[in-house]
Amino acid sequence: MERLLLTAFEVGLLVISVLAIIRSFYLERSVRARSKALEESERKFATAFKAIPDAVIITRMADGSLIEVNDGFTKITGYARETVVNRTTTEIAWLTDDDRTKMVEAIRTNGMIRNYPAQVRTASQQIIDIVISCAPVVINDEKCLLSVVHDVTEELKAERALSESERRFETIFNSSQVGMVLSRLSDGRILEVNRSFERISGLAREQIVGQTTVNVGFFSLDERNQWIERLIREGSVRDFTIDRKRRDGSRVVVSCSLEIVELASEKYTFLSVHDITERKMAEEALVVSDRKFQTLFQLNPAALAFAHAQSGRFVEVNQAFEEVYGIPRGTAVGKTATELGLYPNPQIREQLLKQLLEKGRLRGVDMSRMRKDGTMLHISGNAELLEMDGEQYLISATLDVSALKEAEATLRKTNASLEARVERRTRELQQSNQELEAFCYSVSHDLRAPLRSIDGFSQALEEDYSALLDKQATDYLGRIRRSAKRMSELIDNLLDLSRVTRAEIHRCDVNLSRLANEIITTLKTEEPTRSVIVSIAENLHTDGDKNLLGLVIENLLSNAWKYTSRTADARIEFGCDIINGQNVFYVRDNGVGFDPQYIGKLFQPFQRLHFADEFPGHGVGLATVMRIIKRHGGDVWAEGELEKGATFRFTMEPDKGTKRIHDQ
Amino acid sequence: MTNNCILLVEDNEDDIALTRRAFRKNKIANDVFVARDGVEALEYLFGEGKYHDRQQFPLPAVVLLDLKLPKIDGLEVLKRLRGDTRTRALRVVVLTSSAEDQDIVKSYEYGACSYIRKPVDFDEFVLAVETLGVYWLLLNECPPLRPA
Repeated sequence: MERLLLTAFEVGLLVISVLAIIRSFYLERSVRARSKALEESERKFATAFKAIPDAVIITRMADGSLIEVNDGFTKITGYARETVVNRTTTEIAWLTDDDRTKMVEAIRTNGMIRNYPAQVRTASQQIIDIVISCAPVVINDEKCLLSVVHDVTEELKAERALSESERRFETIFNSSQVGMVLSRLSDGRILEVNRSFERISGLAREQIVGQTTVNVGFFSLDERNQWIERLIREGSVRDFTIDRKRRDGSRVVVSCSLEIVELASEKYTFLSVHDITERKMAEEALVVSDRKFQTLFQLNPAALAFAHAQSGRFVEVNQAFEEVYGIPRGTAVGKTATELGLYPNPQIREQLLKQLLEKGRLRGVDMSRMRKDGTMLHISGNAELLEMDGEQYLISATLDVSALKEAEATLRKTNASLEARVERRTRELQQSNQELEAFCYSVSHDLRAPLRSIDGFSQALEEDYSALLDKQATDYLGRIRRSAKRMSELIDNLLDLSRVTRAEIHRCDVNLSRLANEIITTLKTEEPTRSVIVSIAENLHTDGDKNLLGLVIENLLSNAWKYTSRTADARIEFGCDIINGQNVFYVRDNGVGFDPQYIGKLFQPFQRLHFADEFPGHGVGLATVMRIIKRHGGDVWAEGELEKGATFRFTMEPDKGTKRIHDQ
Repeated sequence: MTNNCILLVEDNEDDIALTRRAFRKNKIANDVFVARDGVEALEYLFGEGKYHDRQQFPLPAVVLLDLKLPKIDGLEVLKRLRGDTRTRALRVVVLTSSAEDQDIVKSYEYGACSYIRKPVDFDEFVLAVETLGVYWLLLNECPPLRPA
């Protein structure tokens, strides 16, 4: 455009100069007739003046009036020549005052203006963009101003359109999500990159431009050579993936395409880079997740199956499914459960499917299924509907609980028979208890009757016929009566022992110290002459049957009392030790004691370690003690030595780890 | 009419003999009627069958009742006596062979006045009849020690 303008301007100047020469010549030689050649030149000039598309205006400097305008002027401004010649520019008002003032100022300073951009108003009052060049000329000794006006409306429009397009391009270039790199093919220097590439590479534009893709670490040299070679061979390389670490260590995966572009006869490579990091990582996560799922699916001990909800055809089954139902995956996939004969009663499948479709899920469904080999299985299963890709799938997990059910049934049967056995045993026990009671009753009544007669009639003989009996006969009768009495006592003891065994235990808090004191008082009353030092610990309490525990204390204290009868400084002690957190009560005496080798006989009924004439008794007391203690869940044992006294200990609750000294 | 007789309900002959001897030894001369089982005891006391003649078989001042009896046992006899207006007030001393708790407890439950262990020990017997307040009735030969 500039050249064009200059050309127009030069033409203008040329024209003016020629005109001026002609005029001067004309003026100088006015007297002479115009030569034919000159006329010809003038004609040519006029033609050129007219033909110039730009507006050419000649203005008289003196008054600013227009001397001449060409056709270009009319064409551009719309003013006819006749309407403007001899009028001033101000009158026409086609330039704004502002523009005009500035132009005059510039001309005054520089002598001329060139390509001054301005706006003019046309005859139709339209404002158009122009550039104007002005230079002073002298025509016929008059200072004039030659102005050439070039209409740039169209050019500006084109120019604006171009910059708009460039801006648009730049916007697109930079706002594109695709990273773009323009490099020279010859040396690989990067000329331009967009913002996305900055983001993708993690580098600023300044760090990239002027470098090569290898320098900035985007490609390895080998890669670049490889791609460029292919690019030159094939013209473009599409969609190759690069997995890189940025300088900050973060990972970036991109899909690249390379093109060759030719600009001003130079070849460039255009690299477009799609960031597919997220997609890639999602894909990888999916692969991991899928592998996890596959592993879980296959490892799961439950039989798992995917099936089309609509058709019921299996899509996938796991190993457990194959094992439980005896159907290989290859056979199962594509078939329905009914076709595979899994349901002995296909109606059940229909019902279950209906329920599943209604509720969306089934839990803990118990049912029978048939194995491939015809075995009936007991199955417990869950199922759920799952929508995938717009289709409904049925996921089921079933466990073979046949063994469990069988075990349950067996257990139930065993329990039932156990209960029956327990019931029977209880009944037997109750019966034997009743028999025992009946036996005891008859012992107490029937066995005693003959004894009564033996004793009674012996006494009658003794009393009524004493005169007829000699000393020996009386002695015999005495022995008979003593034996009868002893047997009667034995029966009583036996009954006592049996009563202890049978008696119901009524538990309550029992003050053992008080019981012991009462018993000692009784013993002292019976034998007031005995001198025994008795020590009873205070406030010894336990939980148990008061009457039975009374018997225990009575037996133990009576024994101590009895077996210290020949001991000087007799001492009896009742107390309690705490061993391993457990109360261990004891009755200790310093009497005749016992030989430890016979300790096993101590607690057996009717076993005695002393003669009756030495120490009277029937050997039932300690047996009674043991039975009572055992019935309370406790334990009793003894320690002693001949002539060194004895200690009897008992607990009232089950052993908590106390080591028994003796446990007979 | 003698209403100070004693009815001994006892099946064991030895015990009968020993009991009679005890009375005799202690100079109790009251009539002692003996019933050998529960049925006979009830017949006597209700004046039935061969015992319909109250003149000959009057209601006793005291009944010595053994618990273990053929046919109807002593507790049942006691229960029936207590269930009948004619015999409700009869003084009954239970004879026991042992100190079996249940017998004694039940005897008292059914209205026994006292109990004596067999064979009848005379001292026990005297204590029992004293408790019953019939002591003077029984001692024909000796006047009562104190008025009942």
